[in-house]
Amino acid sequence: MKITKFLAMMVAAVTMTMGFSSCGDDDDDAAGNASFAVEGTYSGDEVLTVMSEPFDRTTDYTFTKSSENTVDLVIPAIDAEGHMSLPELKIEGIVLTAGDNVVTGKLDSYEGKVMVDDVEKAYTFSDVTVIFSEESVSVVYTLKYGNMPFAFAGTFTGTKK
Amino acid sequence: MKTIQTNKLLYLFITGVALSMPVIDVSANTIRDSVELEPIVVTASNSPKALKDAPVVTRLITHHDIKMTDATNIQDLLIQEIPGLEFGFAMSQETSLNMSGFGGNSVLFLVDGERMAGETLNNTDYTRMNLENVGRIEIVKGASSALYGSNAVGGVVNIISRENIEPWTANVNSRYSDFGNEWRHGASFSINTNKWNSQTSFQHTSIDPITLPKAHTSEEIALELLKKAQGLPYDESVLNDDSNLSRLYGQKTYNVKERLTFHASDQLTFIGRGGYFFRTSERDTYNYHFHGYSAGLKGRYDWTPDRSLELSYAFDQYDKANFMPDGTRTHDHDYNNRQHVVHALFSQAFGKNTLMVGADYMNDYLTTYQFIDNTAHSQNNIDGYAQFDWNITDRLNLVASMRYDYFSASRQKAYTERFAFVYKFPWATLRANYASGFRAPTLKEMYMHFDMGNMGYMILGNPDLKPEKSNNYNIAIERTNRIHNGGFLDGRYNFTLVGYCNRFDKRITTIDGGLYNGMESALYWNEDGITVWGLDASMGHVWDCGLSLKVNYSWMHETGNVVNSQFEQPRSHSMTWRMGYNHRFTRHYAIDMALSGRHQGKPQSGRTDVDQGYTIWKLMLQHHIWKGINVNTAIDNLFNFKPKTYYYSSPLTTGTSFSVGLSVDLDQML
Repeated sequence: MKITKFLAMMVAAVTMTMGFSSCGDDDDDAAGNASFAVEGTYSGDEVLTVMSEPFDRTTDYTFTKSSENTVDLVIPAIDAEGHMSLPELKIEGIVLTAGDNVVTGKLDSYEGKVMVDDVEKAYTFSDVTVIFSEESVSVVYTLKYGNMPFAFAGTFTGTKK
Repeated sequence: MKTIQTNKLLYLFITGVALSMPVIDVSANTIRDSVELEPIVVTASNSPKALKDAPVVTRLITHHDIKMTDATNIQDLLIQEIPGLEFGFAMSQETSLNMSGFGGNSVLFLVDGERMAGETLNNTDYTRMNLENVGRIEIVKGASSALYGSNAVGGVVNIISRENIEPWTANVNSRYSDFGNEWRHGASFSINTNKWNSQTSFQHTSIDPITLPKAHTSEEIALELLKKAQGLPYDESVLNDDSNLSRLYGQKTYNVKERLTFHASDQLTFIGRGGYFFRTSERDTYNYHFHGYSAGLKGRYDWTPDRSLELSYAFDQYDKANFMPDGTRTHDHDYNNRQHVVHALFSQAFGKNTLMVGADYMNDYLTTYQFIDNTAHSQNNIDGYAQFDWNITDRLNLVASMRYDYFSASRQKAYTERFAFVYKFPWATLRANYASGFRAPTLKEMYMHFDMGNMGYMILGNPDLKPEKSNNYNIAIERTNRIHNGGFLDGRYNFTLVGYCNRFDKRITTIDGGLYNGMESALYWNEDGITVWGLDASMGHVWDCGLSLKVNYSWMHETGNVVNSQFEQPRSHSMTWRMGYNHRFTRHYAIDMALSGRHQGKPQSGRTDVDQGYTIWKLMLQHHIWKGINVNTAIDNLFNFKPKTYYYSSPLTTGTSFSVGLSVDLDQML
């Protein structure tokens, strides 16, 4: 999709908001050392959707182990030829649950801060869901960045490098 | 002689209303229902007239109507009362009005005849317009710029305060709704002496964040995405979930108002007023804070019963600020809009005819994070207008208005006019009206220089914008009568049928602005015109036995350049209705009951993933118990309608909700 169209849609007065749903952490212990198994860098397709208009790119999502049953996720910066930019963003403490052939990660909400040109920007990820299966991963989240008057619905699917 | 006495009586009556022109004298339920056409309205001609004599069809929402809707603010009220009107969402979950295709900046909202400063995404802060101590609301659809100037392109909504005439009154009230655990607390006090009249009101509301059910959970979506990536069979419908609202922000509001009237003599009256408003919206990432300040002083002098002069000064300010979760102010979202208005109005009657000449000066000041380096801009608006109300015969009335406006920053001028004919047949009243409207480019639209979300996408103002223009033509027929033949239908009925055409040109919108300093941009621009055709029908019947029925229907159709505008969004068909019943069972117990509903037809946006229309019913019971104690109970969304998906035009409901409220008139207890 053309970035112009995507950005033009931002101007339209239509909303997106963030959402979150409850996360079940009853089975946290079952995750075992799931974080070790899933950590790594995954290469694939990211789609950020705003007002029903998708903006996609190929990129890498990196998961690092933060405890036996939690991982952190780093999403690379977006710099679309200077026309739109988002800094590298991090989500910490995604709680993993092991199931049949899959590991599911959930996080209701994560509030972070990042420095951009010496200005501190706050951002919030919410309703974060990650599913690992074999060497593949899918990620779904909502992102509100700084004073953006809208939220992104983000998805990523990739395979382990 | 008899005519003179009648005129004097009429003058005395009208003067009484005019002195407090935006204010009405309402003791409990004086105005039973707008089906009765005796109430006085002011908005259609900027002067008091009986509703049946108003030169333009005026929709009146009475104090009783307000009570029976259980509404907290103007938004709650209008969606229940006015067909063809919707409040949806703009970006960042800001409220966005659509009235027959016209957006929030094309409908002028007045509180006691005064404008309010501030806007967010082209809409004023409707939560400022709470209904505590409001006496009535008048709505005039179509252009009214010849009387009210800029922004009265698509209509005027005038919220008019109550003015109690008892020696003193005191009311406290509280109401709880399980939709978002919403609380509303209010109080109002009034003191009335020969010389002084004081009205004080306070309201506080709070509502929790509301999680909206999504058609599919994020886990379901992630799973189907994974299947798709792995080349396995997957459910495409899960991935096409276009719900784009999932959580409504919680918020709190505080609103306090004081209005003080001093009758210095039989000829001279002063009215002072002041108000403060605060709202906090508890959002993701940042919390938004909004402040509103208003003040005003008005003096009116009546030389003779036929001649009067009114001078007033009004101030209004609206501020916005952002706060981090730790309570630190960000200063990157600061906004301040201040308006000072000086107003003069001279009125001279010649027999049954009246000439009105007025002028205004307004200074509009705006500083915002959307200007370069938070700089400020301001402009002056000067206008002059005249209106002649000519009663040609007892049956035929012509009201002609003309106005000239000049705006210093854009150096734009606007001439507007209105010609309204009223002819009273023995069996019905016929109205024909032509009016022009305009909306001057705002400071924001002229000077915006905003990197949207700091993401390298510029929105650029355009100092060369021209004012939006509208031409409104409408014709209406109205009949009111009483049936008293001893049958079931005994009572009073009214019906009104209005056909209209709005030609809207030079509408201000954004277009692709090309590259600006290497960044993509959008530029404010005047776009081609749109024509809106429509039909409004309303009927009401108040039975002598206490039953009442009101039905309002609206149809509209647009042609022209509607793409990427609010004119894409309205629905062709919409309807509101209310069936009421009131009865006093004993000296200490009476009941007011209302079963109301609204229907919004298929959206014209063409979206098929959302509800193709919806109907919501509401049942309201108001129990009048001993000595001014009233208990209100309401069931909203009676038949448990749940939106298929939540998007910018979805109704704010997750299903049936309940509310209960208590209102106590302390003056009636003591």
